Amino acid sequence: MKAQFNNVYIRAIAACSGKTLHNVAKTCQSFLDEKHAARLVKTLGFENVREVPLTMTTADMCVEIAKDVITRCNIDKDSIDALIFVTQTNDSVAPASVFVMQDKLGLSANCYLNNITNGCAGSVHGIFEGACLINAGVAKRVLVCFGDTYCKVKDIEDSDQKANAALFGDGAGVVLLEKQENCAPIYFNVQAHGNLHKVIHDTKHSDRVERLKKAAAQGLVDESALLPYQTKGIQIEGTAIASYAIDNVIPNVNDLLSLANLTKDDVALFLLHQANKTILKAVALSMDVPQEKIPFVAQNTGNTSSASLALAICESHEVTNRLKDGLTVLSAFGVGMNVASMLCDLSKTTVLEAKYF
Amino acid sequence: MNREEVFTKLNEVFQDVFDDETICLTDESKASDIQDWDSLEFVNIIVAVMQTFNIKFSIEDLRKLKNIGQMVDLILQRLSHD
Repeated sequence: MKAQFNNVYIRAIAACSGKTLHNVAKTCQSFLDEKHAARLVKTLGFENVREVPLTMTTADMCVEIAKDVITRCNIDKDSIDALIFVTQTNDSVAPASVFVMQDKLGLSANCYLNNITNGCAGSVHGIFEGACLINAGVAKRVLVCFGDTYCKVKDIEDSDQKANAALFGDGAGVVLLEKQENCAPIYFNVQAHGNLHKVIHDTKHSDRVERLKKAAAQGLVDESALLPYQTKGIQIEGTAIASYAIDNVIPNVNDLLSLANLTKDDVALFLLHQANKTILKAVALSMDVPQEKIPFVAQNTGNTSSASLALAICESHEVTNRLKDGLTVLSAFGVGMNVASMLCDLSKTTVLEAKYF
Repeated sequence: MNREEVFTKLNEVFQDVFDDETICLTDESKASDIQDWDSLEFVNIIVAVMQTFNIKFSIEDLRKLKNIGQMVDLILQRLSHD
C-alpha cells in the first residue's frame, strides 16, 4: 500500500533502551571459541547489547518516554486522540497492553486505542496507522509507541539459536504525530509477504502449541503434529533475511522514491532497521548508495526490533545531524515478513536524547 | 578479467572471510566443504564478492548455485554486463 499525506507532521521522537550492557564477545564465548565469537561480532556488528531490568516491560518503557514527550512538547493529555502500541512482547494476553498504557498516561476515554502485533517493521507501521487517522480527519494528535524486550542473553541455555545472544537488545520508541495543514508531505510504502512467515518465527508461547498438546494428550492428533513447533524461542533464517533485505526492501524504497518523484540523490539519509551491520552493508552496495548514507549505529545497543530506528535517531549524533541535511527515508523490515518505508522531513522534529533504564 | 583471475580473487575472498589461508577452492567446492559455513558467513561472502568485483546480484541467484564453479560463472556473467 502506498500513500502520501500532506497534513501529518512528526512533532517529536523519543527512544530508550537498557542500562545493562552485555558484551557480546564474552557472552558468546560460553558456546563459541574466541575466534568464532570474534567473527560473529564482526559480522553482526554488535559489540554490546542492552537489556532493561527484568522488572520492566516494553509497555513500561513506552509509558516512561511518552511522559517525557508530553512534557517536552507541553501538550494537554486530553488532546491526544489516539494511542497506538506496536510490539511482540505484550505485558499480557488480556487486556491488550495499550489499555494499561492509557491508564498510566492518564489519557482521555475518548482516545482511540490500538494494540498492533508486529516486530522490526512495527515502528513505521504504527506511524502509518497514526498518519492514516490524522489524514482521515478523525484525529489531530496521535501518540505512536513501539518496541520489544527481545534481549535473549539470559536464555542462552534454553535457546536453539544461541547466536541470538549476539543480536537482540531491548528498546522502545515513541513518535508524536500532529495534524498540520500544508506541511512537508510524508510518503509511505507498506508491504507484507506472508508467504515468508517461516523465515522468523517463535512458537515457544504459541496458542497453537498449547492446543495441539491438549489434542495429542486426548488422542485427537498424533504427537508428530507437534514436531514442527518443537523449538525453543525465536528461530531465524539468516540468509533469507539478507535475501529479503536485498530483494524486497530495496525495490520497496525505490518505489517510495518514485512515488515522491525523487531520486536517491535527493535523500540525505536512508535510515534502515538496524538488523545487523552486514545486511546494511549488503543493502548499501546493492542500492549504490554510499555507506555513510545507510549508517549502522547500533553497535552498542543490539537489534532492538521496532525500536531500532527511533533509537538510532535518539542515540546517534551522526544520525541526528543528518536529519537536518534534508529528507530522510526510514525503512524497517522483519518478521512476517514485512517491509514498511516512509519518506519524510525530520529536520524540524524534536528529538529527545535516548534514555536508559 | 578472465576465469582464472576471478577464481584466484574469489579464493582470496573466501580466505579473508573465513580467516583461513588454507582454503583452496575448486570448481566442485560446495558450501558443505567449507568448515564454519553458515548463513551469516554466506551473507559475508555476498558482501565481500560485491565489493571485490564491484558487481551486484540477488541473493536468490546465489542460493541457486550448486558449487564454486557456478559462482565464478555468475561473476563473469555480471562482469561482462557492467
